[in-house]
Amino acid sequence: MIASCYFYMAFVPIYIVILGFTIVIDYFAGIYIEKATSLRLRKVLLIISLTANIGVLAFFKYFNFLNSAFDGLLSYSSHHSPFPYLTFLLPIGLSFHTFQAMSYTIEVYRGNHKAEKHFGIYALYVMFYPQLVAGPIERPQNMLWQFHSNHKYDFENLKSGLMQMAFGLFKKVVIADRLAEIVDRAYANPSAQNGKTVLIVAILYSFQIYCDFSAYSDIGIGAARTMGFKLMDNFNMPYLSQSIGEFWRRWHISLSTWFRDYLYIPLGGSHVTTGKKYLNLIIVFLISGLWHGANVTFIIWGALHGILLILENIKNGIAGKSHKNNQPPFFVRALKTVGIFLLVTLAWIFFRSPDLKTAGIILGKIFSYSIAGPLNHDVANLSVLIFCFFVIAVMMIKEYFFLIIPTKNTFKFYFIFVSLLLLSYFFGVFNHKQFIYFQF
Amino acid sequence: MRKLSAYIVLVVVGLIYVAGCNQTITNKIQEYKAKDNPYLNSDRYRYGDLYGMSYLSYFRKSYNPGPPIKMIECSCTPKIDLYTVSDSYIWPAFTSKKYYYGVDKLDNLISSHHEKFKINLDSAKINVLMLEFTERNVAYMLEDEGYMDNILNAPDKDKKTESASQELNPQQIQAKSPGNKLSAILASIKQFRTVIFDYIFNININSNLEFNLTDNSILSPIKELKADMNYKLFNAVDDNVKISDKGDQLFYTPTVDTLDIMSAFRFISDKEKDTLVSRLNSIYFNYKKNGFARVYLTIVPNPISMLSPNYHSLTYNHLLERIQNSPSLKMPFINLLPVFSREKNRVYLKSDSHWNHNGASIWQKEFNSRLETLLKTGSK
Repeated sequence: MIASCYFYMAFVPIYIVILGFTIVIDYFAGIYIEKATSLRLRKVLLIISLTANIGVLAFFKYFNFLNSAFDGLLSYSSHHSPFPYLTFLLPIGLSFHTFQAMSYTIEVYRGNHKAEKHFGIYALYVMFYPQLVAGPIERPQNMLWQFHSNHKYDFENLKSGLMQMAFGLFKKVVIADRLAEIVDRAYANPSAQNGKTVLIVAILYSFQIYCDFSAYSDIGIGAARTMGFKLMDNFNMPYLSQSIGEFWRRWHISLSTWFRDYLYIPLGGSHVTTGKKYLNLIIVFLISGLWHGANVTFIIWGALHGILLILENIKNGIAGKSHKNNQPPFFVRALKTVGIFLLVTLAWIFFRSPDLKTAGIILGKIFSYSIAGPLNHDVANLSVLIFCFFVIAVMMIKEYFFLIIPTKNTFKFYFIFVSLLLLSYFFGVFNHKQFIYFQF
Repeated sequence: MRKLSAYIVLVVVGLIYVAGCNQTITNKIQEYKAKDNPYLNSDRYRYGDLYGMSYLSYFRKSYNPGPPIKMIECSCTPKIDLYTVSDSYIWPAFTSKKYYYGVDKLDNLISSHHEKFKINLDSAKINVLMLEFTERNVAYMLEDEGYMDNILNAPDKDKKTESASQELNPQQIQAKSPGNKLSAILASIKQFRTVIFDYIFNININSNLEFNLTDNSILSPIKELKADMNYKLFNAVDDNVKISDKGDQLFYTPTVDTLDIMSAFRFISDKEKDTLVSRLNSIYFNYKKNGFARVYLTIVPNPISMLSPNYHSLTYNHLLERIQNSPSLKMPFINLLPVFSREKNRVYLKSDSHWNHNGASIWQKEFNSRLETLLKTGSK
């Protein structure tokens, strides 16, 4: 608990007060929801808890976005918003720990989990430092019992945790940050690039964001593992998906299941009319986009995924009647995987672009004749590209055969662990680049 | 046994972390490393500041500062009090008055707005101010209001009569006012909180840990191996460094990056240049008015401006020439451009953003000729 407080305060110490405020509210809300006999009171308490969490999130993350939209509206009548813009930094990991806290009160409200009586343990559930900043967004069912358990020093846990952390470090500094250099150069001046260059950069960004985010999850899960805690998996080879639905079952699993359990299903899920189901999907993905950031690019990214999922549902509805249970041949499956990857890559363009104009330029270039032009070697020289594709292939093969490197054999553990550290040092890029998801 | 090892590791790591958090301990370590120690001392500046950023082995091997700067043997009676307001080109190299002709007292002031200048003139002496910039930081400094405020107020007579011990900090001023006792208490709490936070959440923790743990000459070969490998395989070097087209000279990235205020390739309008000249004139007239016999300006050319003005087909902004050739400029200047253009290949270090001893000696000779003339004419 002390380590978690210190970890959180290392960014902006005073923000611990805000986190403390929501922890206290949720802690007491949980206890009183459990005690309350009337449904009405339980609902009121849940609403208080959710309002506190969403209120803090909205204030810090969306105030300027809403104020700017309001300003835009008023500008038609030559007026300006009377509210000043906020200039302070966003509390680190706000979207993550807010969602984790909300999952607790919702689960207590639903009667799926008992309220936590121990304040320290509840606070630790929200603040547990390995996953505080960028997830996985945990559930009370998976975490609270672990905090009550006695964790003894276990060498096997230590080895397995360290190995996962080392692989996360490798993915971050060797792959993600090397790719970031190429991607950042291209996005800094997209007009100067041709179609081929931006297409390759867009593909590289897909791997950059995967390696960056899954690396953080690996490091977080590994760090928890060294202390004997088991966090949920957050990724499962998402780029091998053969459908958008499958992609979302493999990408940022803790967030997509959160939206499924606490938004999609309460909205009616798929047990409603087809039109309502599609509306629910769009709502969920729009909110998912907004969760990532207060920018129209994230909203479009979310909307694109929602639309693709709806189209997929329509297609499956038609195809399901004629081709039920037919496993397509390998090359068709491979083609589907490539197709889904490319669709996801096109959507990532909105996610990465600082504004719609940049996204428009990049998409315009990809779908222009300049796609046949030569690669811009100022953005990426050939040796760097070959290296990047090589390490990406190595990573994919490793993850295909074993998500977690086995560590039972101590000699093998030391050999692989030290090799990963050496490779990370010698081929890593150390330019103090933060994890992409830290901003959320 | 494993448990014991784990505890030992925990204690050792904890101590390293505490040392990294504590700036006093880190400074002590830094002092220790600065001493002559074959394994633990730092190589960060030993072979040039850009070598210390890039760790490319070629530049350690090619490090050659040139013959040492000579001290002046002068049979004259020293009468000049010399004040230099300079950056890292001058103050670390010219630390003694013996480098200058006829100088009785030398006061090196470092031109950073974080330092408060104090200039106390002795009216019996010939007071000279030497204001030095490098081409890369002339706009950066002169466009900084903090620097301008500092330099324009340095010779202020009212300020200089107040000794440092008489100065009151904001808390003391507040405490003296009876109505502000609460504010003073709050200010003290704030100050206490700041000290605690600085110790526990030191913002320099990462660089301190890196310095304490890895900035040792014994580890330099490993750093060089990484740097050489990345350069040969990916043509990649540290972000702070650029390599000349021929591969034999390092340049400081801000002097190349067209968006950086220090860049030799940033577009500088005539209006911006005129503002810089006007600010130089304000400084000049201010110091003249406050009793200085002479105020000289030196702008040292950037290595990239002399050695590679067409770097990657970028357009050099010729800022130095434009300032020096401006008819509005009133401040006399030491013109290094002709000699530096001629001698460009021997005046800069290959692995550093500064000049070498040859370059420094050229400046010293030019400046001392001014001092010699001044002493001979005896004007105040």
